[in-house]
Amino acid sequence: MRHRILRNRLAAAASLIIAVFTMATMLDAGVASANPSPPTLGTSPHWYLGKPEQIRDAGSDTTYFLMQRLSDLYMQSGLYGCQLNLATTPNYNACLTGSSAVIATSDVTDNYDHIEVDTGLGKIGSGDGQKQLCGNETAPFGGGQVNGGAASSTPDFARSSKPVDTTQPCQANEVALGFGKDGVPAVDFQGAEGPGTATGTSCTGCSTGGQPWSGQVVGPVAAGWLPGNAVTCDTSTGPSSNPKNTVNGCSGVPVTDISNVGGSSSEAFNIYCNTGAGKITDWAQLTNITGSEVPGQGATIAGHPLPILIAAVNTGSGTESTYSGFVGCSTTNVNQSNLVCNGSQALENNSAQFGDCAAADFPSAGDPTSVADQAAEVASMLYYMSNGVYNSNIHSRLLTLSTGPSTTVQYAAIKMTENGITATTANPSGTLMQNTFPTARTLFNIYRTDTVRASTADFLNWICDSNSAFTKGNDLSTGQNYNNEITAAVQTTYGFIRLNTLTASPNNSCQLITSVHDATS
Amino acid sequence: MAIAIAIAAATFMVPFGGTASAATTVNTPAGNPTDAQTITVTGSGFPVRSALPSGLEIIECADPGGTTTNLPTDAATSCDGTTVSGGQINTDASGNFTAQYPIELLNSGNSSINCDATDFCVLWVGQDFNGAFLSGPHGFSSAFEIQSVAPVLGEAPLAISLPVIAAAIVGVYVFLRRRRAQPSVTV
Repeated sequence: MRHRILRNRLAAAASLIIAVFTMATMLDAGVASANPSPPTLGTSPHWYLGKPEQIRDAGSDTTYFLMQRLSDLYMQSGLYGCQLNLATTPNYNACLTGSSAVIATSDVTDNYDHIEVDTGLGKIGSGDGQKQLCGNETAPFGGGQVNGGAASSTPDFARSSKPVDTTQPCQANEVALGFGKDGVPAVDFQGAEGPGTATGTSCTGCSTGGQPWSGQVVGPVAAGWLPGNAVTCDTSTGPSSNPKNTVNGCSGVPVTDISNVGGSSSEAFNIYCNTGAGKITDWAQLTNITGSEVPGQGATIAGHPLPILIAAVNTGSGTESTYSGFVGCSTTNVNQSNLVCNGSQALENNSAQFGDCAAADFPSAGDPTSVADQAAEVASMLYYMSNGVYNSNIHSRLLTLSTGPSTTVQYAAIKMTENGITATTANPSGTLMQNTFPTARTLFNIYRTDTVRASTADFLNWICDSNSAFTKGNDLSTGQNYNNEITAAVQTTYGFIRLNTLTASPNNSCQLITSVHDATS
Repeated sequence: MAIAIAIAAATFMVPFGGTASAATTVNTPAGNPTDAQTITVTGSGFPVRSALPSGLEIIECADPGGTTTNLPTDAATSCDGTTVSGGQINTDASGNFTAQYPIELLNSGNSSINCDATDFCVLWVGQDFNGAFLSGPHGFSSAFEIQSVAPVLGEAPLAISLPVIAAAIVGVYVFLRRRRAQPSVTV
């Protein structure tokens, strides 16, 4: 009898457990319904309007490709948005109303309104994007005016890899939503060995008689190569003749770090900003060090200059702004090389362009040492890049030189540490999320509280929310939830770290927009 | 259990240079690592340093069940870019490498994939995880699970924690009913 009671109770308990488990599983998976209910219009977090609109952003080139991807994801979810109304003029410029607005496959949690997002180009750069948002620069293609917004010829939001520019006239009305984390490490080209003697013949960016290497052999100077070393010393396991070099067989010390400790007397300042006494101009000053000497104190080699060539980067970019803040001057181009790219500004986050620049700076026609010159130029360069771009796009860190009719050689940009700190991307423990990497930065979308439209708010909220205030639908073309696809785009395809509504302080600026200007229009 | 399921180091024939195939191996320490533990990863069969100026990348990828049939085929859907190795990893003149790699626990709080105490992952090692995940030189480590340093019940997956809580409630209910149903004894 007692056994039967026990059996019954065990059976009941097991049934209950199974029932709870089944319910939990069903809740987890989501349950398909017949026709979904039309969503409420004009309310946060979606801010649905019940009609299609176009929105446009402009600014950062660092986030350009990522925002293209996020825009694409958002727009493709609109394929399953509301049922559009043929009877309007023009046709289909509003959703049907009531239950006729939705069918069984309608996605009422993503781009219900069929919003189209234009990831704008125009004058590129975070600074320019912010100026356009404020109307301080006119944009070639309006966002607001074209689509009925209050502000004419301004984008709906600015892509920016730097914080709000407080000098802009509308800065008091700007809110920056940080949706990604990044850093800006310096890079050098330690593996650019080159084939030897760099004569500088045919240099297009050199003053007459001022070719930079005095017709000498140039090896991989950033790897610690010094005159007299084999140009392959960087690949030798050593030991080096220099006890401070435990890395390779070069007799100098590899340049793997740049420091701004000491401010205006720092290594970084003396390379990038200083134009007077104490300026660091030669690789030997960084590598030819022994004993207690530090980079900057090395002796140059008489009759054998090894100039540091600083690549100029487009000003107005958030990347340039971040790195200039690190080195301590208003722009990183103060001591720029007039040889690299013939003195023109290079685009940020792309080392590949320097292969083309070197080929143009030292044309091969009739110059038997052009490859040596090109390799010497590359070996002597300092540049910096977005950490996310560097990590995720191998092409962005490789450059190619033509060494013959059908042969090429590739050199890679190598990330450096800053003040001895490596850029690490672990979330939340890495040096970027912890803001301990000196050039750690946040990637923003900046909107104006006085003009933001519902369609813009919906898109930006869609990016920021992490299935917290609302649950995104599944991408029917992949089977993945859109929230996962956003994370994968930010972190894997483009190499940044996603910040969202649940991210902890101080990286928690990606919060939902709760007030707009046309929610009831 | 997790260790028992772990597979042997995977070896794959991968094309390189369009002319030859090379067998790559990727080795990690035996057993399951813990979150934030730095492990030594070694390997062989990769392009030599002069042919690989950008070096090697290491990245964590999901491997459901820890089986070779479920090895990832695409970084965008199966790997997490925040785990990519940060420094330059050069091969030697024979195509071997050794690197220190920090393991990272991944779940919905910080990733689009799960690499934790109940979800197997592998390390992908190769030249270009985004552009040539399978078509370029690459190899996989053995599958592993990642142990939390200090497990918290609240972090357990819903499918596990809910039935456990339900069973506990039912157990207490049955125990109390049995006590109440027993006849009282009077002396």
